[in-house]
Amino acid sequence: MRGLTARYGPVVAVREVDLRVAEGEIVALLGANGAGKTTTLTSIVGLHRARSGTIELEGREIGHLPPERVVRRGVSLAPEGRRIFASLTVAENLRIGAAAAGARDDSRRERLLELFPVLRERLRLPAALLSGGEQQQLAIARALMSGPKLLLLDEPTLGLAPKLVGLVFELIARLRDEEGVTILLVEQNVHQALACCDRGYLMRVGAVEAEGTAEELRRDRRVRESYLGVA
Amino acid sequence: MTLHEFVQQCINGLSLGSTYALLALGLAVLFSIMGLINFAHGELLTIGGYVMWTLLHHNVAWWLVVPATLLATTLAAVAMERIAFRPLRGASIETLLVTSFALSFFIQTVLQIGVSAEPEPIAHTGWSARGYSVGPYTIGLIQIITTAVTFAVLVALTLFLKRTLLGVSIRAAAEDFAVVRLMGVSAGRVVVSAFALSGLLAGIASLLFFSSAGSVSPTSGTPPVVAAFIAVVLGGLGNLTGAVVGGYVLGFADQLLAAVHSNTILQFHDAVVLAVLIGILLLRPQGLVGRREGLA
Repeated sequence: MRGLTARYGPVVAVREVDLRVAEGEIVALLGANGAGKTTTLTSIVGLHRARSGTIELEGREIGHLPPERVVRRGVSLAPEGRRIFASLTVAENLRIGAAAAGARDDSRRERLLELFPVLRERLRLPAALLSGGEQQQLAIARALMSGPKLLLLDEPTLGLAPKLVGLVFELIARLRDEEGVTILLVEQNVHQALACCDRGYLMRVGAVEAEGTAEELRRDRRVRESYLGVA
Repeated sequence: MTLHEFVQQCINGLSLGSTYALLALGLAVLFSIMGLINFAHGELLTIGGYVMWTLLHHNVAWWLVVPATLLATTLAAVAMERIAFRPLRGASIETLLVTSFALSFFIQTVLQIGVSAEPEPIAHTGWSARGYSVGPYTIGLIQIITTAVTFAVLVALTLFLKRTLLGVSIRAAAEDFAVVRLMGVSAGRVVVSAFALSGLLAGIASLLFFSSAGSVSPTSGTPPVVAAFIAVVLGGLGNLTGAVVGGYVLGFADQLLAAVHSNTILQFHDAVVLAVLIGILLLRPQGLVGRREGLA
């Protein structure tokens, strides 16, 4: 992704941002509220239309496509706030998730249910009855049902109890290691995000302020001062 | 009112409520996914009536009139979306509402100029006027058909919405349209399907309604769709179950009040029905079935 600029009316939320995610990587997108992280993700998937710059997947431009086409190319977003379909059952949520994959793929669903065993127990329940952690697992599983090459996760640990935060990060690492999914992760839990990602970008008021490997970012003065609470 | 009258009015209310429920469902499907209150829905009913009139006038057999009417209203609904609403995708609720009024008046005027402002007779077939006596009660064949067809439609619609990917997508779109698109479901396809569904439901209502109404005029569709709109509000805006419940409650209320009224207040029939509606909404602002955060 090169030179992404996105606006809300006259307000520029993201200015000239370059991002690169290599296959099989977990890349973290860090930064405070309002830094433009979510806008970056919604721009990639085509939900946010007021944008310029180029967005490529495996060398092919996807920046001009509407959301339903972007996911067919292999980019799937688990949006901020989970946004599961509360009145639909867990199974129905997963079924919609597979809409982009065309033909029903029961083997993928099986694999995901092994990865998220709690969902298997709840398949016939309305998603509204799941706990926060379960809903987050459902949101991630739903996004994976399309078999994406690149999974975008927007604040997957927001509002979860500390124990569940650990579980979600564990799952994210397993997705890369066992399923080979490439992940772009937006997080405010900087410490844990850096522990599980390969590389990261630090955004500040709509621009990239720092980038590097997880190790480099952990040592970066700006990251340490602002987010890790150590000087 | 005697028990006998009460039961008889309930029988009448069941078939009237069925018609309301079918129309209310069509309105609710569109509102739930687009926030559109389509006042031109009544014109779909009217168009169905004119198709029936034209075909029956030319002695076309009933088994052909039924699919032709359903096809016509479904296509008319899809055309409404293409021509009037698609260019306004993403517009505010108010804009869509005004557009639907314009569309409604436009179709009425076209029918007035193109056909006639006068009602055209729709021939009663032998069967539609037939009635049966069950003990002291009279049940019209058309009432039985209306109720049975409506129940069958409700079952079929439920299966469609629960078992097919398109049906599940429509329900999901009612909750969060943007996320449905993120899942790879085409926005256009969901919207067109919802319009087609509302047109099909209007066509079924049309066949049942005009089989007993006996005539069709350019404004035939207005009173039933206003009633259906009331039913939708009563049940909880955008809630499909609510639309059906609202339709039946309104049908029963309508028929029971008609029986209770003495002649002097008969002219205030609608006012009394609406007063009951206001009373219910004062007690349950979210509608009978709607959740408290129904509109959020």
